Amino acid sequence: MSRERFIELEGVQVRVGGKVILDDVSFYAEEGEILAVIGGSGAGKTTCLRVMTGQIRPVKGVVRVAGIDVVRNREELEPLIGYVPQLDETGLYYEFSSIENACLFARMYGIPRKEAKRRAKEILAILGLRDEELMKKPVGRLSGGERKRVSICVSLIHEPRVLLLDEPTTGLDAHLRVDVLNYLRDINKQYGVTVGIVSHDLETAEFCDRVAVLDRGRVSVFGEPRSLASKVRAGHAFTVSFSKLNESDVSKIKNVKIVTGVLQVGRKTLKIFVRRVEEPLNVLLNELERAGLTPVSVTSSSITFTDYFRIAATEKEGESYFPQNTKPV
Amino acid sequence: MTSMTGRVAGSITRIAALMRKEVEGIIKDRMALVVLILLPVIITFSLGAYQFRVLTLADYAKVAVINQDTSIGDPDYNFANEFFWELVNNANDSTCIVFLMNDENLANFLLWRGDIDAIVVIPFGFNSHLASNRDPEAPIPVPAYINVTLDGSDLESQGKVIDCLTSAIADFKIHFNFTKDEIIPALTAVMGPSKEQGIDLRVTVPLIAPLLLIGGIMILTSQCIVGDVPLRRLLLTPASKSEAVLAKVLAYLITSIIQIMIIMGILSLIYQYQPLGSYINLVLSFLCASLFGITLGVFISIVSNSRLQANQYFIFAFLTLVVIELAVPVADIKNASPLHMAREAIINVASRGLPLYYAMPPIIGLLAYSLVFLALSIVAFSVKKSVV
Ligand SMILES: Nc1ncnc2c1ncn2[C@@H]1O[C@H](COP(=O)(O)OP(=O)(O)OP(=O)(O)O)[C@@H](O)[C@H]1O
Ligand SMILES: [Mg+2]
Repeated sequence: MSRERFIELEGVQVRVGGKVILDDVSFYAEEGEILAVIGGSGAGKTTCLRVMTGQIRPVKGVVRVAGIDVVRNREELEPLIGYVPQLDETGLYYEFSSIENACLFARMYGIPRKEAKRRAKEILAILGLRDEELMKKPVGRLSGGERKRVSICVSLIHEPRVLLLDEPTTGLDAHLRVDVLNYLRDINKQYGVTVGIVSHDLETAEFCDRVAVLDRGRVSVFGEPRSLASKVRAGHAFTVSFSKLNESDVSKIKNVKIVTGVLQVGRKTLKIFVRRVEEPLNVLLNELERAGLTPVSVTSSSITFTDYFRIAATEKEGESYFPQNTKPV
Repeated sequence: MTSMTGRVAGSITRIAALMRKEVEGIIKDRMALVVLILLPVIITFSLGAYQFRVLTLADYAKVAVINQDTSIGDPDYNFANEFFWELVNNANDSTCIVFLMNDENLANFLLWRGDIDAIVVIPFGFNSHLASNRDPEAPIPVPAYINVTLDGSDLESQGKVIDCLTSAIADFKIHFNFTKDEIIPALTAVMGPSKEQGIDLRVTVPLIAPLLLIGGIMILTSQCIVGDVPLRRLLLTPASKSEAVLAKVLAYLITSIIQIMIIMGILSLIYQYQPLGSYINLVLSFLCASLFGITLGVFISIVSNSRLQANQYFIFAFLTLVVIELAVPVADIKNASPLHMAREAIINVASRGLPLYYAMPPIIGLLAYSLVFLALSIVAFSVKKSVV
């Protein structure tokens, strides 16, 4: 029994000035899910969001958001979506406080100021901002992370059914990135709002129910991160650090019998995937010793969507696991 | 039917909220406050400041007197000298400095250079003519001329010199019992218009106020949409583009009312300026000028793609208006210019004191221009692509 598809793009093509920016893009999320759209810079992520919010008309394809045909009935969509733009200055009045911004946007939907204030405080509290003084400060004087959360609050003020965010974690430190994603999970649970997150960061997908990877305007991967992760041919994964590591060492490890894949995760650190075996750690350590390699540290890791994606990417190119600029000396 | 009224009510709430945001934004913007309050304060003060200012040497008109008279007149009096002293006695009250010079060429040179403001020449025969006029047997007076050369490029100094001259002649005649046109000043203004002009608020207010109101508000409104980046996100809500434009126009109209109150306050409280007609009519004319400035500014803001571009359009539009007013000698073109209409409207209601009925044409013209720019703004905004 699947629920209603709440964000859905089907065969969408977008052209700007004769240039095809999105081509045959299809993906969806069911109601109440979190969808990640991942892609590099210029892949067409923002364009996808503009299509979903009805700001850009596709030349081909169907776009449905919150049960509404966006191309035909854009106005009906307005009360049902919240949009967090890539840059905060394009969505917030910096000279106004968080509460004032929230009230202004709330008034556009006819929500009374008092109610708007109550909601703003409630949402900001879920987002981890409880300081009343901070809510009265002009948004321009807040930190980037605080501002991003105010922007999210403003786009939730009218209790939309769908929340769309353009790179909400970009520009935040690693710690805050995780925080914001966790808060979005809380918002998603508390309000039952369907969330679409655009990001260039693969890790974002780990927090989501569904992921679509955009590559130069096309969807290269679409699915649920967990089921995609299970496609990695491995039973266990270990993060292993060495005191020294070169390319021949890596190919030695790849040739170890039980090893199904290797990813470089640090300068002298590898993530090693092994077949499902009894006592995999002992087997791996024995095999490494036989190959003449002694690890400094070994930790057991889980197999993630990111692993799937990186393995798929390297297999496609069939190249060395060392990116050009991180080759050991 | 109910959904229709509901939609209108929703629209009104949004306009009210957008208006409120706009006014609050203006209050928070220091540059806006400077333009709105400081600028009119400075300019309006300087308009009437001549009434209060501390006089320095530079404010005095310098009058060189050249006595060329060697003719013999009354044995008891040297009329040429007496006249010089009358000028000296009246100089201070007329903000003039009077002194004797010998060399007429040097005096002309100084006048040309702007070092002095007037030359008074007492010619040969001044004494003898006046002496003959005192003869009770003399049937008709023989006038004694004095030749006055004025700096025509400086209206202010002309006024001072003429004031000094008139007073001196009057005192001189009383002193010596002259009752007819025994002394006639022959005035020549060089280097400028020859017509005598005084400076009066009734002249300067209609000239300056429209420039101030239209230009002042355009500085702000020409930025109000191009500079309002988050407006694009607001437009993803049920707020429409025409609601946004209307809210901006109304917000700046409120701002203009405050600006007009400040100008009127300074003019009437400090300078005792009184329009010949009613204050309400004058405020109405001011408001029409402001409305035109607002709608033109909003239009500029919509068609501009950057703040800088909006600034350039503003300067261009404003200069065009000023140039038409000051430099275009074709009356038809001038009469069709909104700036001129504003000036005419103010002259009509304030300087001529016409009732509104007769003063209407330029006011209607301004309103028509405003409506055209409002409509153009809404159309231009609706076709303009904006994405967040
Ligand atoms: N108005 C436009 N005119 C021409 N090309 C455009 C326009 N908008 C976007 N593009 C192009 O479309 C492509 C996708 O742009 P988009 O902004 O969607 O990328 P993105 O994935 O969001 O990138 P980023 O991570 O840098 O935000 C880019 O190559 C961009 O140059
Ligand atoms: Mg983008």
